[in-house]
Amino acid sequence: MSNLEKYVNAFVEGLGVDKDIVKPGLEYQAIAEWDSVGHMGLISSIEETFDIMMETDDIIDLSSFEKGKEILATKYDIAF
Amino acid sequence: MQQEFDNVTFLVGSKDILMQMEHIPVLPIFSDKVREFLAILSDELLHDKQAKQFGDIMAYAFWIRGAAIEKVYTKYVSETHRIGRGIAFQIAPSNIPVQFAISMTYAIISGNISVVRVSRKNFRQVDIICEVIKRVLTEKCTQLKPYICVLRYDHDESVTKWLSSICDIRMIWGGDNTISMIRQISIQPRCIELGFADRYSLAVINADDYLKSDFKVVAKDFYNDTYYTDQNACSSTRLIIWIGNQIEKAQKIFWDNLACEVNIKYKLSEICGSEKLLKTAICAAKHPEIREIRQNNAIVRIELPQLYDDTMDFKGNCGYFFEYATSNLESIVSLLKKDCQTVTFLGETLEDDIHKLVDLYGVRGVDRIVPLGHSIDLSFVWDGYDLPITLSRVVGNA
Amino acid sequence: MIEDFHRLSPYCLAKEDKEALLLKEMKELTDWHRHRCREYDCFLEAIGYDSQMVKSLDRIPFVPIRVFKELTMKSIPDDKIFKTMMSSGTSGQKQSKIYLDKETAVLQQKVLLRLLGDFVGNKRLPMLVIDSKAIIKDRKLFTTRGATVMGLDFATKKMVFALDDDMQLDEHILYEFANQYGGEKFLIFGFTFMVWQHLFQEIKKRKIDIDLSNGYLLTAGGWKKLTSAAISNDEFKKVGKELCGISHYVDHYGMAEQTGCIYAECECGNLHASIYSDVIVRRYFDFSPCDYGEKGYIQVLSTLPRSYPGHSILTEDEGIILGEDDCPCGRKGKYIKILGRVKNAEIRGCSDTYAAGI
Repeated sequence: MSNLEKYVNAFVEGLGVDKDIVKPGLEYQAIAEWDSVGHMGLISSIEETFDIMMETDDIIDLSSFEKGKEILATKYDIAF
Repeated sequence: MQQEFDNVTFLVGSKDILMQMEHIPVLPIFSDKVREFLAILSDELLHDKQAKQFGDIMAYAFWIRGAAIEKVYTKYVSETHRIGRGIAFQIAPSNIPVQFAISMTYAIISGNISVVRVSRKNFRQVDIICEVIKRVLTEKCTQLKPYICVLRYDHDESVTKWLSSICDIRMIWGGDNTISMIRQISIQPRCIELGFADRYSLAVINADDYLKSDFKVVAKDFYNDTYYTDQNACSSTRLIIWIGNQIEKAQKIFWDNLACEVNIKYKLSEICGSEKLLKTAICAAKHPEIREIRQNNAIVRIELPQLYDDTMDFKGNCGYFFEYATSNLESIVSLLKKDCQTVTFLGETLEDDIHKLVDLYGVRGVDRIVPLGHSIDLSFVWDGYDLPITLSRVVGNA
Repeated sequence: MIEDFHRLSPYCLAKEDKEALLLKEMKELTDWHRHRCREYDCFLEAIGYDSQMVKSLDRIPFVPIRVFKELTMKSIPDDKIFKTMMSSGTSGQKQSKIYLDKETAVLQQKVLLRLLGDFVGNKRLPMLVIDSKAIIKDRKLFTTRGATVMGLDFATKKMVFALDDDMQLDEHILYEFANQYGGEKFLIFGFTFMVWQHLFQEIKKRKIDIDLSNGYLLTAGGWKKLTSAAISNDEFKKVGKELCGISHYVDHYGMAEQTGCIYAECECGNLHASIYSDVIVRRYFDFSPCDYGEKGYIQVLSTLPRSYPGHSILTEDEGIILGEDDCPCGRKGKYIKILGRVKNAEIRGCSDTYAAGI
């Protein structure tokens, strides 16, 4: 599985949503599942997927599908 | 002991497990078994449909998630030869539903066997978490089964007495009355006891730094520090100290922004208006110089011309704030007494400044100094105790 | 001046006239008390009261009712205290203390009689009290129950207590009273739950055959539901009619903190404010006055308190104003409905609620 596939899976698992809607443009608070509560499930899922521990600031900054990729790439050396 | 358990409900564990606890080996701190259990519990809770309806359960689950615990573990990894003390008997508070789970987490991460007595109030959160704990213990972490009991019982001193007589750690979360009542019941000579009593907290804001910040974010942060728990947790800010040059300007913007946040999110109980008016009347009778500023009943501010020693005797909740403006941070020292728990800050140099005050004056209070918005963050250091250390013992070699 | 009020019939003033008269009196009372009661003055200062700003009745400052439990609210020196009224709080709770001088006590009784007279006539009548004599024993220290009964003393020709010291109905007294006075108009007085439990239920249980159809039943606390029995107002009246023929009911709303100024129930079932007092219903969110029909805190204004600053009180009762000046019974002024207590909050946090039972 590529890192992108893993990343998409983390969203599917973490938020409990369909694969179709996990794509560029998806933003925090844009769907009911990605609210502040869902966000915690998502972070946990991403951390587990990539075996990382995210910094608090990054957890807060991860506000969209795109932004998450950028954070993982620049701060956690995960190449997409 | 048999008949004493007739009125005990086991939310997790059983009578047999409880009776065996004295003979169960303790674990090292941050043992693999416990870390694994917490990670699975976190995962299950974060994906549980019912649990997702409760922000406080989610916050707890998030706190114990695998990656987070691993990170905390790195801080303690050098603590070799540290093991649990034995049975940790904990009495959970009646107003914070998830506190029992937080307390249990402290107990088991330190290698102990955990017995928690939860309040007689039926919180959905307690039932949901206990169901999931039970499931995890039965399906995945069977080895930990003998280590965890969660019980509920009515007016039954005999159970409290028995548990007190066998425990090695007694932790009491609650008000001063609760603690002193339970203290009447004796414990073993070598048992350690921690009382997590009523505390108060305050915020220090540098007006000039505030004016450079994102007002909306600060309003959200402050809301989380206060209204999120009805401003009634120990960590809730009751008093705001303003320092800096442009205090008046900052206050106006601060309260206006908070009002927006409160109007959207906060459900004000009907009784609060008269409750707060009463507080003001009582406080004014003692300190006639105070002034009340009532934007509406959700935000009531009391301007203090000076800091009274007994200011906190008049503290309110659900949005009742004392405010004091000063050019001299040292004037707050009189408030940093035993009962003072958390000082939140907003300002570039404030963290250092407040630490310096604490050190310089050797004050009895202040257990945490955290940025504004972080007062309810969960932590393994609480009320001045580094819990994995306090709740464990070290087998020395010198 | 209170004499201006005495010259008028108690339910004769329509909105504008009443407000003009009441506003003037209320402003004077606010000044009167702030110069005599330190605690009250401190409170007004703290909330930024400015008498210049008061242009309408709803701007008169109000104190929260529990302040009478927490602070010593009195506007007279100790040697002028004629009696102290205590609220009937349950054990463990703080009690309200209301300090009365002679002037205020007399005023309270006078007004109570004037108001009641409007409903039951001005003639002094015999009165059957559904309570025990024990409640009026200590005259210096009254409970609300005792005070209410004593307040009616002047209104009656003869007062007869129907319950013995153990709160049991004394059948002989009941029969005797009915024989002697039952042929003409008389009064029955009691707290609603006492009447229900100790009169109606006992008549039923003991199969007492008695005719009380000439009686006017004055009740207090009727707005509080008969919690254990969950009896509605209508059912209460129906049962009373069936068991002993009572057809005249006058319930009222009142409190120890404003004795005298009662809100009595008219023939149409509405509780009325007299010229001596008024009601403002206020919103929970910001204390702004509610519209008619909108529920909120009940604030009560009374022209009577001179010895303690209780002329404007924010109660913790919830109610609505049904209308003003247009009740079919013909009485002017506001008429209201009491809904019960404002809900107590279940707040989160670390407060102490465990201690009750280990």
